Amino acid sequence: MKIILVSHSEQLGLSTKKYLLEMIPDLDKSIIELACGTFDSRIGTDFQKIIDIVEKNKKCNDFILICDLGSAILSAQAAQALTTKRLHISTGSFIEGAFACAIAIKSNASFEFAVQAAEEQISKI
Amino acid sequence: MDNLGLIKAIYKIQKEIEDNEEFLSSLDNKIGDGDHGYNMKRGFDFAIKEIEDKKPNSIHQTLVLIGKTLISKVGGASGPLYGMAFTKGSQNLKNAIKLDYENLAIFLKDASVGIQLIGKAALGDKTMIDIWVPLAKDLKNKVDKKTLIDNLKKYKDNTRNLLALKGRASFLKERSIGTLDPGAVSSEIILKNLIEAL
Repeated sequence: MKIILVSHSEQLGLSTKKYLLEMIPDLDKSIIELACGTFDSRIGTDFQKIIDIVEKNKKCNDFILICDLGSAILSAQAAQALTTKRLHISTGSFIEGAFACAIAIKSNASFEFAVQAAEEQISKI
Repeated sequence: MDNLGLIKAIYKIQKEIEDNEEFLSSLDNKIGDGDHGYNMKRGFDFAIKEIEDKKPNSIHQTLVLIGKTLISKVGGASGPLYGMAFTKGSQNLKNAIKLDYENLAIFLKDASVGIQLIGKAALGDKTMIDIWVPLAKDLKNKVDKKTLIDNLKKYKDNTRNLLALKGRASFLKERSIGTLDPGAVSSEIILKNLIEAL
C-alpha cells in the first residue's frame, strides 16, 4: 500500500515528504507519492496526477489519500470514482495523519490499521 | 443537435465564459478565492483545443473529451465537479446520434448524480447542484425550452440568498448570503447554451 499526499501546493507536498522521511528513520521513500499542485505547478489539485500514480504503481492496489482541504478532496473523490483500485480518502489531518499512517505502513500494519492511524484524532495537550 | 451542433454549442459556451470571466471571478472574490472565472476560461480554452486536436466524432466522444479535459485542467473545485458532470453525464449516451431533448434529460440526470458523488452537496447548500438537480427534474417533466431557460435564470438567482454549506464560501458562514454562487452562474451559461442548441 502507498500514501498519496494530495495538496494544493507542490512545495507543501515536497516539504511534507521530506519531513516524514526525516522524522521516521529508514522509512521507504517509495511509500509516499505526491499529487500536489496543478499540471503547471500552480496552486490547485489535479485528478490526473492521482490517476497517473495509481496506474504507474502496477503492483499496488491499495492507496491511502491524505488531502489538505477543499478541492484536494474533490480531486481525490473523482479519482476514487474513476478507478477500480482501492483508494481510501483519509478524514484525518494532513501532517499528523500522514505521520501516523507512514509509521503504521513502515511497521507492516494492515490497510485497515494504517487508515485508522491516518484518521485518529490528535489531542495535543 | 448532432455532434457538430454540440461542438458549436461548446464554442458558444467558451465565448460566453470568456466574456463573463471578470464577473465570475468578482463573485468568487466576494465568497471564494477569486479564481472561478480564470479557471473556467482556462478549462474551456483547453476543451476547445482538445476538440480541435482530437476531432471527436460522436456526441459521446465529445462529452467524454470535455469531461476528461475539465477534470484536470481546471485547478479549483470546478475541475473535478464539471469533469464528473460531463464524464458521468455521457455514460448512457454511448450510441447517441443526437443530443435531443430526451438525451439531454439523460445527460442532466447522470451528470447530477456524478456531481453529487463527489463533494456530496445537497440541494440548498449554495452550489452548482442548485442548478443541475432542478433542471434535471424539469427535463424529466418535459418542460418546454423557453421555460427551461427562464427556470435556469430563476435557479441561479435563488442561490443569492442561500447560506453556503460547501466549498470556500462555507468558511464565510452568514457573510456568504447576498452573493450569487459563482458555480451556479457558470452552470447557467453552460446549460443555457446546451438547451438553446436543442
